[in-house]
Amino acid sequence: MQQLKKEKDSNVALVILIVAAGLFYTLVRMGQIYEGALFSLATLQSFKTIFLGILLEALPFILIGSFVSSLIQIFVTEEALAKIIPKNVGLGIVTAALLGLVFPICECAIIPVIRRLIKKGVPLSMAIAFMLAAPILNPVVLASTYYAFSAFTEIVIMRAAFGFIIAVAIAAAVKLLFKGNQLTGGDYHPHHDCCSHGGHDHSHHHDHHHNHNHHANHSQHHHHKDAKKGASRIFGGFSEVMAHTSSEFFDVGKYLIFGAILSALVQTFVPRSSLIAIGQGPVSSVLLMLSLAFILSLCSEADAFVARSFLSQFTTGSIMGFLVLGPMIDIKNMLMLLGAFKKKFVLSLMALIFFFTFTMAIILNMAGV
Amino acid sequence: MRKDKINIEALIELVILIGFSYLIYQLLESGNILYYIHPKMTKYVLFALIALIMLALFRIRDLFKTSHQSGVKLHYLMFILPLILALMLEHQSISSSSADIRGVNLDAIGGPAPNISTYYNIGKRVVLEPSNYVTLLSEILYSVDKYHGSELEIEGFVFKEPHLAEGQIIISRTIISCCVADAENIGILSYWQEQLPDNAWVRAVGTIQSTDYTNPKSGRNGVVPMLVIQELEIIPEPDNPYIYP
Repeated sequence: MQQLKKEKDSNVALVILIVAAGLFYTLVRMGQIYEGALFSLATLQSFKTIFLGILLEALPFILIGSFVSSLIQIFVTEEALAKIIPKNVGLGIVTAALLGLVFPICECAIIPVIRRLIKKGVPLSMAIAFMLAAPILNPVVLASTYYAFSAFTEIVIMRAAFGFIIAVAIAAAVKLLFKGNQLTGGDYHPHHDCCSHGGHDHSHHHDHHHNHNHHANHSQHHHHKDAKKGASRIFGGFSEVMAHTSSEFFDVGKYLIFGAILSALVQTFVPRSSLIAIGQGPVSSVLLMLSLAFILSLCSEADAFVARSFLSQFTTGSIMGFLVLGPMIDIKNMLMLLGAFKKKFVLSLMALIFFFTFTMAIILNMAGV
Repeated sequence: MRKDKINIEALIELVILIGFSYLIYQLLESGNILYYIHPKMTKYVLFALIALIMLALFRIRDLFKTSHQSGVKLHYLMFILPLILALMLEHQSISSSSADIRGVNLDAIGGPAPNISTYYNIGKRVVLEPSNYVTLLSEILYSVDKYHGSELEIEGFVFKEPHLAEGQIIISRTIISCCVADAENIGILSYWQEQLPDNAWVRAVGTIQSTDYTNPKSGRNGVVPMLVIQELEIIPEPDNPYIYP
C-alpha cells in the first residue's frame, strides 16, 4: 500500500512539474505577444538578465561551499574537530569570527559549510560567529571595499571592525538564547542513496530512513569494506564526496534560485529613485539601507560598489548598516538558512542582526561621523 | 521495489546538471556571459561548468539504482525555471532599459581618485573610454571647477527624465562591478537642443560647463557639471555596452 501511494505521489508530482513548466512557457509566449502590459517582453528580459546574473555569480560559490561541506562530511571526524575546538566558548567565538581572515569565503558558500560543521558537533554559537564575520573579514571583500571607497579608508576599517564586533555579539546572544544545534529535523535530507556510491548493496537504507546520523554509520561500513584496495578506497571516497556535493547543491540551490527570483523581481519593478525619496532622515535612511541590503542580495564582494553610489545621498551610518548587514543576511541567505535551521531560530537570528546593525548605524549618525 | 526501473529523481537531476552545463558552456563560448557578469568572474563560472559536468558524470551511475526516496520533489521546478528562461529569451544587456528603474547617478561616486589630475592635462580634450570612464568621470563630477571649460568626448546612451529642463539630457553608461544585480548608471548632465530618441547611443563632444541641479527625489541641490554638446553623432549600441571597473 505504502509503496503504491509513493509511486502515485511521484507520478502526480511529475505531472504537476510538466504542467507548471508548460504554463510558464505559455505565459512567456503571451508576454512576447502582448507587449506593453505589466508583463512586457522588455520587463521580462530585464528580469531574466538580473535573475541569471545573480545566479551565475553565486553558482560557483555554492558549488565550492557544497564541495567543502562534503569534504568535511567524508574526511573530518567529529573527534578530530572536537580536539581543535577551543573549550572556552568565548575564545571559541572570537577565534571563529576571525577565521574569515584566513579562509576567504563569501556568504553564498558559507551556509552549506556551517551546516555541516554544526552537524559534526561544532557549537552553534561558534558556527554563527564564523558565518556572520567571515564574509565581511574576507580579504577579497575588504580589498574591494577599499577600492570602492578609495578616498575613505575609515569606511574599510569601520566595516571590518563593526562586522567583527556585531558577529561576536550575536554569537554570544545565540549562546545565551538557544540550546541544541537548531537544525531542522525533518526537512533536510541529503539523498538517502548518497551512500550507495561506495559500490555496495544499499538495501539497508530502509532501516534508518530518517535518521540523520546514518552517514556516520555508513562511513564505518565503507571503511572495512573498502579497506581491501587502496585505490578503490580513494575512488570510493571521492565518489562519495561527489554524491554529497550534488545533493548539497540541489538542496541549497533551490533557495538560492528562489532568492535570486525575489531579488530580481524587486530590481525589475521597484524604481530605485522612489526608495531614495523615502529615506532621507537619520532614522529612515538607516531603515531604508538595511532593507535594501536585505532585498538586493548582492555578493559581499560587490556590495561596496553599490554602497559607494549611495554615499552622496545617504547618511554614513546607513551606508555602514548596508555594508555590515548585507553579508550577514539577505533574501537568498534567509531562504538557505530556513532550509537548514528551525524557523524560530532563523527569525531570531535575523532580528538580532537587524537590531545590532540598526543600533550601530543610529549611533554613527548621532556621533555625526 | 523493482530493480529495473529508472530512478526518476536521478534522471531529473542529471537533466538539470546537463542543462546548466550546456547553458554555461554556451554563454562562455559565445561571450554572452559578459551580459551577466564581470569578466573577472568568468574563471569562476568556468570552474562551475567543470564541477557541474563532474557531478553529472557521477550521477549517471545512479540512473538504474532504485531510490527509496518517494515522489518527485517539486523543488526541481526551481532549477528548470532559469533554464527555460535562458534558453527561450535572447541574451541581452540591461543597459539602457535599466536606467528607468535604477536611475542615473549624476553625483560623484566616492571620492576623487588620488592624484588623478596629474594624468590628465586639464584644458585639452578629455576622452572618456571604457578603461577610464569611472575614475575620470567621477573626478569630473567631484571637482566641477577644475574641469570647467575643458573639452570632453563621451560615448553613452541618452536618458531623459521629465524633470530635466528643455534641451537637457543625460548621457550615461552602465557600470558592472560583479554581476548585473549591482549595475549602476553613471552619467553626465548634457545640453543638446535637437530631439534625440530615448535610449539612443551617441558619441558627443562638448565643453564642460556647470549648472544648478536639484535632485527631484532627494531634494538635494548643488552645482553639477553639464556637457554643452557641440558635435553629436548617433552610434550603434556597442557589442558590450557595460563598463567593468
